[in-house]
Amino acid sequence: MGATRAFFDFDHKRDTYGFAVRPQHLQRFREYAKIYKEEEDERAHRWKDFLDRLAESVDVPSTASILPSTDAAAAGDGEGGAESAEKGDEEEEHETDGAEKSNKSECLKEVDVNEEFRDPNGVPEDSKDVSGNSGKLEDDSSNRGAHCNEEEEDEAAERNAKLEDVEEVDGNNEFREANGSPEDFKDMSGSSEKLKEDSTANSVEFNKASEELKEMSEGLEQIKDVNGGSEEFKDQNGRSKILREVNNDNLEKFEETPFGKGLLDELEPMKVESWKRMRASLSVIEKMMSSRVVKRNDTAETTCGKVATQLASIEEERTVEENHEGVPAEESYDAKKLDQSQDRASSDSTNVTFEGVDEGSYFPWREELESLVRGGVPIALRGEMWQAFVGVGARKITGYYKKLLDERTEVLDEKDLEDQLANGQKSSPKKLPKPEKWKGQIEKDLPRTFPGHPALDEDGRNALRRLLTAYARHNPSVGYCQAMNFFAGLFLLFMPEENAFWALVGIIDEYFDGYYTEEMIESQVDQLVLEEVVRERFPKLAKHTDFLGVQVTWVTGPWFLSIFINMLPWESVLRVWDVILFEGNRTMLFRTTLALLDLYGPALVTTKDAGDAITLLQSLAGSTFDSSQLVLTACMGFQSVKEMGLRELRKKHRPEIIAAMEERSKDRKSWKDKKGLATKLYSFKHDPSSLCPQVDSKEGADGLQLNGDSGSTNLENFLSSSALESELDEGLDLQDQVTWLKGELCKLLEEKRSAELRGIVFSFTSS
Amino acid sequence: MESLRRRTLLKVIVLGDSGVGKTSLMNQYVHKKFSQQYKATIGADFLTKEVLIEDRLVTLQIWDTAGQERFQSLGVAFYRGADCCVLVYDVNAKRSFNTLGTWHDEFINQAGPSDPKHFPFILVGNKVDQDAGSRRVVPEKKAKDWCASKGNIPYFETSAKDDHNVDDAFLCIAKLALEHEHDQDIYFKTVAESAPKTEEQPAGCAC
Repeated sequence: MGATRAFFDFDHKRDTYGFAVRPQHLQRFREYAKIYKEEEDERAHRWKDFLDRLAESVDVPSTASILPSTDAAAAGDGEGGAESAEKGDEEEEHETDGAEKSNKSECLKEVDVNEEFRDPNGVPEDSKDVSGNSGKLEDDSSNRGAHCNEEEEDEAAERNAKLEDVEEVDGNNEFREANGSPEDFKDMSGSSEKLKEDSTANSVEFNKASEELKEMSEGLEQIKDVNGGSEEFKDQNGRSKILREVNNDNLEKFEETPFGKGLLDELEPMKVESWKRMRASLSVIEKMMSSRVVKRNDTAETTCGKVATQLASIEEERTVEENHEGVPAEESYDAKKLDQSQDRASSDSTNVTFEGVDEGSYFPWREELESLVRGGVPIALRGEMWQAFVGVGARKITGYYKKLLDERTEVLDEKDLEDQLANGQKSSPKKLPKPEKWKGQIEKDLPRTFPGHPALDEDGRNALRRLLTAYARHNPSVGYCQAMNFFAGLFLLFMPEENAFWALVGIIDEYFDGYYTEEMIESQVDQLVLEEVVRERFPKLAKHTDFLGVQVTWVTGPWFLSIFINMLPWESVLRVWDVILFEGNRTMLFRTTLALLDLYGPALVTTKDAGDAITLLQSLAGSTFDSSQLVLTACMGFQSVKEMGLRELRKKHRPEIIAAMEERSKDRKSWKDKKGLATKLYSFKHDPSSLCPQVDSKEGADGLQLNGDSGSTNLENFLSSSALESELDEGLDLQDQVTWLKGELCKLLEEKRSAELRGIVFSFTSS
Repeated sequence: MESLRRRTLLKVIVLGDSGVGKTSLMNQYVHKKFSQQYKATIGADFLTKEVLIEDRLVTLQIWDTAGQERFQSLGVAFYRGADCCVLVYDVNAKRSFNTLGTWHDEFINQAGPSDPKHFPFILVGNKVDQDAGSRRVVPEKKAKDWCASKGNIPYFETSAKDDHNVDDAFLCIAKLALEHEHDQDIYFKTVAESAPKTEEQPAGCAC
């Protein structure tokens, strides 16, 4: 997606990532911005050190062999230049509007660079420097630059005007800086879009971009010949030269934007050589993570018998995909698989998590990496690391994404056929109208995804639409579920569109398998599991919530479903996502929730009614700015909550959910039966919308009203069910009455209990 | 004063298709704010509001739900114990009106109120401000007919954007819920002899 636009929205207070900060949190956000900055500094050091050592431990490949993979870096795919090249080609094709976009972003970038200089240091020299450097640009690139000049100035003016506005309104420098930074990001990412041809990048990648620019400028110069100087490369080279200069001179100013002053000063020495190393280390990490992708596929295969409700679809879906893909993709995928089967052989006993010993010996640095991830992935590396963690490279099937988008009808027909042939099951009749259903919901949600985020302009929205549409076609059993818009939006901020698609595939198909399907079974199962764990860990809290008649899952349900997006401050969300994506399962959801309850439990037990308790928990969670405390409490304090244990609990609770679901769908069908019973018992009138004449006659002169219009769907359901017959069936009726009465009794008892509780609360409060 | 009575807690569930303005209505009512930029609600959200009804301090616990159909399967947990259900549709979107029956039934089905027939619902037709009503596709009459067919549930036309009728609607909701809670108490005692009641207009509402 072209995460660039000339206009930046200053209406809302936004953080480093371009996300709005809630007004009530502004003060705390400002306080924490400093802490975040310090943490980021420290983090940058630690990661640099780690990646350096990792690179040393690996045989550092020669420059020539590193760089192709750099080129495909965004693809998270360090496996062989041939494929990277292929990918590059494909990407070029795909982005037919790429040139235009590059133009735009280029302009923006330059504008911004100038602005940056003008503003802080008042350094016109620097600006000159820049223009001097652009002289060194390869022809096409400088042409573009010239081409953009006019526009550029307008935009600059406009933006300056806006900055002034904000200043006036705000009178707060620190704040302006915070606001300004995403813009810088955006612009930088614009240039990185051009740089890495498939990096459409985004605002948040600013640091990464600048790092890469440095690296690439150096690296590309060296290997220009090797690469035969493709246009794209030359272009990048020129561009990055400028930027390197810029960065060298102004690194401080440039990089401090995220969190205020001098954020990434220390990153400076990290550039160039160390980045090459970093690239090497990254590919090693990728390799480890990718081996998990394949491994998990196997696991899915072997466990799908046990866990029938889980989609078990990774293999299946893949098979289907491959068939669509046609031969080449299939081949490449298989080849990859073969490669990785060696890794797998050494460590196949553990899945999902890396708790196995084998891996320890295979990747001795895994533990250190884990601890680094828990400390947070540096902003500059987040996009790359996330891709590596989810195994984007290993998942990616060339052309698949494009195909999903292009050949919509064919794919669908094919898929239906395939499904029918291969599975001979599943709801094929449902499949055809579904895309329309997704479409409507997706359209509704596009403007409701991080509204006002600078990156989600028209281009951004289009990318988001494509991504969600492609996913819906990729996995019809999920289609589109609200919340995925946020995930997709988030990924788009950190990585190129196609890679974001594969990341989404990774989390929805695997990490959250069964979560967002029509029935949302696993999501419900997890809440039952959580409830049990909470009861076990926080008996006092559980007692209190029972007393208030509150279910913790009312609040935690949305936390899980949205993976904390919009529920916690962004810094915390991202820190939690770092861990989730690294671990490859949902354990961190539990741990984080438990940590939140641990932190806020003492406050919660002082609440006196259900409303207060829920409101308090929600608002406390929403102001959890201390992301380090949260993540560390989660990972250390609840270390004993492990995936294996959770799985056992899921297995235990799943039947309840499935039974309830079946009950509900049965209820829906036999809805009429119950109503008939209820009428007999209480002689109340029927809900007319769901009536049909037969029932009417049965109810006699009980004051029925018919409404053919709104009740049409119900009528259909009704007619298609055997409700009429069963209602005539005396025996069944009695049986149902018993069931129904039992249910009623339970409800009454429950209500009585809650009434009593309220009484107790009352006596407390009034005394 | 308050110590003499117990604080009444009423649970209100807001249902309706995605994008009809449930969150906006709620925010307008509770915070007196409207934004074009709401996020899609995932799962459910929750707000409270205190209202004074005839000397009685009532706390409304308003549950804002996700509009996408599949989230209904998570509804059981939220619906239970509700005192009133607010059905919302968009007067400019036919489909959101057509699905009301499903929302209604699904709620009864999942919440399992002890007396489904008399469980208080209220219908809200939102976004009447949009394009000065020129895009409107569901006439008021039709909505009122539907309400009549459901046992005369009160109907309000609102604009969360212009804050039109929002307070009135929620006040009615609070009254209905309060009444319902009251009825529930009686219901406990009279459950065995509960006889068919005559058609009744929910009292205390301007509708």
